[in-house]
Amino acid sequence: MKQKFKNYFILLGFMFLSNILLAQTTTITGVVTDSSGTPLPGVSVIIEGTTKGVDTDFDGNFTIEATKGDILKFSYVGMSPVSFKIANSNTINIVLKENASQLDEIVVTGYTKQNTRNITGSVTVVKMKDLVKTSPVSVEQSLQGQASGVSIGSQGGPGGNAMVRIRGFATINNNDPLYVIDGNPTKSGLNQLNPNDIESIQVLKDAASASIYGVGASNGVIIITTKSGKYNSATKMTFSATTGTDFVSNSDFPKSITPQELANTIWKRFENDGAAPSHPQYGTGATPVLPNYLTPTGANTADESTYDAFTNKITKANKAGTNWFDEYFNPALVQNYSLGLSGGSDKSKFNVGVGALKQEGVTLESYFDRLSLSLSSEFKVRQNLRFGETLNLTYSESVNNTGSQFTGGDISFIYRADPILPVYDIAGNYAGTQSSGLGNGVNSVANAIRSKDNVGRRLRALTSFYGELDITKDLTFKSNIGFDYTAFHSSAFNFLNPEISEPSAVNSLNESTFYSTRTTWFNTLNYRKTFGDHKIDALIGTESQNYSFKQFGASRSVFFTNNIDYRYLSRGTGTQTNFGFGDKTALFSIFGKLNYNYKDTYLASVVFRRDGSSKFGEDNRYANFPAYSLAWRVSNEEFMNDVSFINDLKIKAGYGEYGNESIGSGRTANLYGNNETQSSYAISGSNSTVEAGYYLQSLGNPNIKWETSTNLNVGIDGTLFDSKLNFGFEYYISKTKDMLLQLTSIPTLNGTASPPFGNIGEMENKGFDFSVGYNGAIGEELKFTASANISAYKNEITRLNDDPDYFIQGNAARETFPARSQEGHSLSEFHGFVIDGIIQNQTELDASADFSGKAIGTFKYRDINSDGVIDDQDRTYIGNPHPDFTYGANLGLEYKNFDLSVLFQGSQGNDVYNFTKFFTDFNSFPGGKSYRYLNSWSPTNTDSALPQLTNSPAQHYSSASSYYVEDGSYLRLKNIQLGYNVSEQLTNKLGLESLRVFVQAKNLITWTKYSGLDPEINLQNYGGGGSTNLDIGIDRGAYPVSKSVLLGINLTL
Amino acid sequence: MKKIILAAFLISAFLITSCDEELDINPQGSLTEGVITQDEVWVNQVLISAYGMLDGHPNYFWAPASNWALGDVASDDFYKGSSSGDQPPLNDVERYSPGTTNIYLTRKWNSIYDGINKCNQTLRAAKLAIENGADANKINPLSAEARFLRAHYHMDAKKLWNNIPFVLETATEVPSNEVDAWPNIESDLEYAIINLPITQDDAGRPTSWVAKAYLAKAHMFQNDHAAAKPVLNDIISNGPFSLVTNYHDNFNGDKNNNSESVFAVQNSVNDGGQGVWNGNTGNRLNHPYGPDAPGGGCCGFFQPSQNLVNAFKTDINGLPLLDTFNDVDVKNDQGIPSSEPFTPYTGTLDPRLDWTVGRRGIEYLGWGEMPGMRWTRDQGNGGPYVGKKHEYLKSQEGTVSASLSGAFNAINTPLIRYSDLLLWRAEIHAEDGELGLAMGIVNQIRARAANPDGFVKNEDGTDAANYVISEYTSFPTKEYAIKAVRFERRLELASEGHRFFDLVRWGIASQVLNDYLTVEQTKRVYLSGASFSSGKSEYYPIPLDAINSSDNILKQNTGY
Repeated sequence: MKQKFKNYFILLGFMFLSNILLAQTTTITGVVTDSSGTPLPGVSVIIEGTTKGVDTDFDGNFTIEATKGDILKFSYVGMSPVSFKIANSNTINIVLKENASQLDEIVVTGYTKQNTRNITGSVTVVKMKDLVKTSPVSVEQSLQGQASGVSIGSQGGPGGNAMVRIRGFATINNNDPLYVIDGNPTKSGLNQLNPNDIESIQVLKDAASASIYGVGASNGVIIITTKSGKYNSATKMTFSATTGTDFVSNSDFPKSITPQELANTIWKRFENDGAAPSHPQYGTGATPVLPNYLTPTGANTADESTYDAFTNKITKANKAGTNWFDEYFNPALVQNYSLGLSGGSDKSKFNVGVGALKQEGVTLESYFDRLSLSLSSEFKVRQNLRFGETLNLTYSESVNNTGSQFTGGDISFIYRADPILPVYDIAGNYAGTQSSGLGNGVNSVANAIRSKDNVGRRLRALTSFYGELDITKDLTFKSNIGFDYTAFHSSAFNFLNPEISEPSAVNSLNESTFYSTRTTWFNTLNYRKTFGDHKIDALIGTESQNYSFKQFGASRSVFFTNNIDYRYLSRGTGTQTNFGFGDKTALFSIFGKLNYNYKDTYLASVVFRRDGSSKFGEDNRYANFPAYSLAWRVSNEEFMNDVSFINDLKIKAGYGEYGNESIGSGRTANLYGNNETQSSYAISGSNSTVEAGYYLQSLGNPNIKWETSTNLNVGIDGTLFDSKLNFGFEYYISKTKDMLLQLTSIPTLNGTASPPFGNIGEMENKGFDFSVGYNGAIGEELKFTASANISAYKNEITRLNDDPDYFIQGNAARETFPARSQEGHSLSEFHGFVIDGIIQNQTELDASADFSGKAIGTFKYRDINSDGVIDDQDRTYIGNPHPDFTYGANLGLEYKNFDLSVLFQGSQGNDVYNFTKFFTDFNSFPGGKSYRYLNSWSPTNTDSALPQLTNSPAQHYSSASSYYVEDGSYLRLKNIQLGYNVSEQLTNKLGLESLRVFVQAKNLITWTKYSGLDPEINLQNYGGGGSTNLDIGIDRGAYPVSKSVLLGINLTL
Repeated sequence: MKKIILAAFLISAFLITSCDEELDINPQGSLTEGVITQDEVWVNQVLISAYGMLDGHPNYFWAPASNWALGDVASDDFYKGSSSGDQPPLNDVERYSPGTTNIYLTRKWNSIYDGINKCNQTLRAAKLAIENGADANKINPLSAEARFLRAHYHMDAKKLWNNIPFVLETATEVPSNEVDAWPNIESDLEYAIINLPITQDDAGRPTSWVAKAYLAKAHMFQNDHAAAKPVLNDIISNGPFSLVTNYHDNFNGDKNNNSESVFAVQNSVNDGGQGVWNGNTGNRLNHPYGPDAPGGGCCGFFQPSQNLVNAFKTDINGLPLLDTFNDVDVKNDQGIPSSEPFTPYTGTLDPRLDWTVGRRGIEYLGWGEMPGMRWTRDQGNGGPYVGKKHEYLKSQEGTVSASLSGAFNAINTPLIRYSDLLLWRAEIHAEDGELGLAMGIVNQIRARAANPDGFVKNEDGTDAANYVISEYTSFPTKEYAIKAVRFERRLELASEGHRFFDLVRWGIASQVLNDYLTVEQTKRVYLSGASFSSGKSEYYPIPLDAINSSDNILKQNTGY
């Protein structure tokens, strides 16, 4: 409000002065900003009635020769034009107001700022307005459904990582995009950033826009700029708070089988085998009888007075059945607070953000607490010399669920927990599978509660310092030093767990800590100049990066007490161990960019980058990555003048290359070393000393070089119908060549030595992104916006090596390997036997191919090679984890003081390999089973998908097969938020600029056919690099995406 | 203006040159060839790593040195054990229908050839060291050890797959497996015999005598009795080995490397670090299933068959029932909960049974009477018995067993015992018709087993069962002699990973194992429908991985 007055005064002042001074030619200078104070580059400044004019520079500055009394016309796409009559002052500062329907943005793309409407590459600008509406806790997860071509997978759990993939999978190696946070490149997760500190996010999706970032840009680049203050602005305070509940609905839990039904399946197995049934708990009768007590085994009475926690545990049977999912998942409180302060004088500006997040997990005792401080300021030491810095400091504490996506994890164990087991025994100690006949499961509730103090603590400092010098008014030199530091410490106490059948022998404490540092220094020279209708924006620069990492850990066993205040390594009395390792890498690059703009109609851009990496030998260290792009704004052509419904229409095409070197370091040489577990030997015959052996651990290849992706992108952007409708469509083909792959391991020749890498693979991604938006109004009061995006990619491995039959195996799911990557297929497709139902009768039995154990009522395996025998040759590709397409839809409504926003997000056509069925649908391990298992085939129940119950593990039951593959498509109501802006009258009274309250729900409804907890299954090891991508969409017991109901408030002072 | 641009370019040029050198970074935590001094110290350290694979890859329980999976579970002596769904690939081994990607085969192959690779690394290092001026007198014994180990690994592979590639230190591609590996194995052993000393300071290193024992074994597996005979005679007459007084001393971690141990994997625990990974990791799943049992309750694999237990029955004369042993079962506690009473078998038994098999009601190494069902993971699946030879005494908890986890212990894994070697000699005597000499050796073995001090005792000092064992008084015929020697071998060496290979070596695997399956599938439902295919099941399929990665140089075995 104050700002507005100030501008009026200035305006009035100039008008007054202009009347009393005589006409003469003077040099007029000034700054053009938008209403929030952000300088606007490229604003056209023309003396009315002449052709004389200039454009504002990078910082919104302009200089023009004019005569007093001339009228300057300031115009800019997306802004309402302003005319200004020159009076006495030689300095004119102009504020252009947004023309709401024609919003354009100035964003950072490739070391410099650029107007989005003149971008020739593929860049998605995430509207912070939309993003904020999701009240995100983590930056990455908030991107889901917001940007076309960007797919996000959630690890789940408080503080969990996310899988971010831009336009599919460009390589078998690390596919994480490159994040550039205030100029700091990083690949590590962003859950350390407070989303409220972010000013803007741009996603660079093609080579033309991304290749200037070189290293790792082949997976796309996400540029994050944190908030900064504005020059000449009043100090403003913003505050937002949300609080609510995260939860998993009971209806999402698999329906649990009752103890009696489970016992009946055991009896049925014996009956089908023609054997006499017996079970330690259920007796040996004709029908299974549920006992009153599980310990003592199968007893109907017990002398409870004799209970002893260690030697005579007494556990009652829960005949009604324990719902282990319900015991393990609980609603969780989430609170998030952010405070922002910003402002600026004409010489300096600042921004301060303070955030506190307290997020409980929906699984017992898990949480993520984050404190963040973000500082940025900039100082004009001279008119042409600026210094600034940013600092994002985050500290977090978390207790993570240890079990996600791991067959030995807590969630996997919940699927197979026996319902007859109660959580606690009669004395309130944990109950478990120590009671006979109930398998080897763990008590996940006990694990979670015991782990509640196993905290991971992380400190991340992400900071940059820069100086900018305007050497001339067209030439700017910038030097930026960034430093990214992470320190992590975890302390994990492993308890004795006497309640289970395979208990730990000792308790122990494990502590580990690491630090990582990344220093990035870049220097750029930027030249911007307008020559009449020609505009040039050129940039050259250098950048160097140094990374180092070091980890240290130690453990000790045997602690006298579990007391938390006694958990120090020195207090243990048993085995002590320690470990440590580290890494160092460096990069050096030079780069340049030239943008050319003719009348805003013909746009061209050339980018060049030369990268050097320490991971390669001297001869192959450097590689060049050029990119070229063109755009034609058809709507500016004269022949389009009559086409009034088109406001803006741009056709663009780009081609470029970018590089990837995301393999481990040191792979150019043979590496030797020792390994306590693998090469030590008690050569002297001692029972308690070993001698270290040294051996060739990994084979090097001095000739490895950069992996290169080429990318072709064509697209069309337009705004139509009074700028009410906008759309963007892009089609791309990306080809990766010289893909760095580990050569085939030759165990016969090289044993288990890690094979060398070679540039041997090739991969292709083709796809399109489409987005469309509409904003309109119904009457005066009701405004609405609607936008939707849809993206599809097709990934294909076009070459792995000379042998087309060669494949790379994914990670194991117990003894099976359900994922394979092979030439001619998508990365990491599912592979196994095809099951064509159940053998129903003798005729079908005779007609089915043979396998050991074949009988009526067993699976009918498809004989792929038609040799009459089912063996390993009959396995084939059985599913694809890549979606046919993903989509998102945003709706916004504003009515009077109310606003409503709704976001849907979905994925179609992707398969999920539901490995949890190994435990619940087969006689694998004793424990909880599914209703599908209860409903197994019998001569009178021939429609079942599962074979007849038996104690015999007929061949292949446990092999990877199509039985596990399910449709993982889903549509999710990702977000819905209803807000109310308190009326101006009231806010004025309260002394506030604005006040908004809202209610919100996240992930409230999911439409899916997937039978597991949640269809959003992505990687096994998030952020793991290496083999992470070799196994996508396998549900080993994944943490579900939780639902949330929130209340919030946004306040500006 | 020009000056400024010039200055800017100079700044850039400076940055380019100064930063480039930072890209020379050495690998962290690894040694590269340039920093290693090629001398005898290095050769010995590489050699130690070749020993390090003797117990299989530490992270693989799929590749045990003892061959319990592919040598015993695949025979008539043991079941997989545990519950039906745990480690299903082992069910396929037990049913003689392993696929070409069976993890027990793939990992065993990789583990063996990793050992071979480390032997070859040692030999290459030895060559380099000599070229660099190291003392050949110090290097050659190390090379001899490496060649001995290389023979050991290849012989292990030979027994499993028969058609195997022999990988020399000069190999640059996978050699063909259509060339018989025996001559190369023998050549390595002959080199070792000549170049190894007759005594070693380190108990884990082979002497010349050990290499001779391996050469004898190589001859035995080729059924070349004429070649084996003089080697065995030499060892028996002149070698340092002798039977120990008590049978169980062979499986007692405090009596490792006694006079009967010809060659064994040196296991160790509490040896720095976590103190588990050198502690018989191959057997780590093979402990009784109860928290009050040795091994810490994991994981109930490797359970003796009823057929094996029956073999230990003796007649009133204390001799085995060579033909009728399996007609009537030794009484067991199948289906009887531990809480219900059970009286063990009262008939006469060979005392070695209760050092080999844990059974209900019999004292178990100081852990009290084996409680039956409570110590089995799923009696319905794996039967009523548990293994015993690889288990430590209660009194050795924390010393012979790892303090971090009882699943690991320092009991050595015997590869060749002196009784093993004696019984080879007895085999030859029997085949040669020297029946008295054959009987003499068998009786030598039985006499040791009959030492009453060496019987399993109850807490009160009485014998744990009705042990009656005596020496043969005659071998009436050659056929009888052969049968008796083979039977003795089974009793003496059960659960040491030899049985399947012996049956194949004797050419009777198909007959014995199919007979076994016919009876045993009435007891173990998962064996129904299983059969041993003569001409195929004697050897395992070459792992598909190995064939694929060899550029198809390796050829698959018959029938797979």
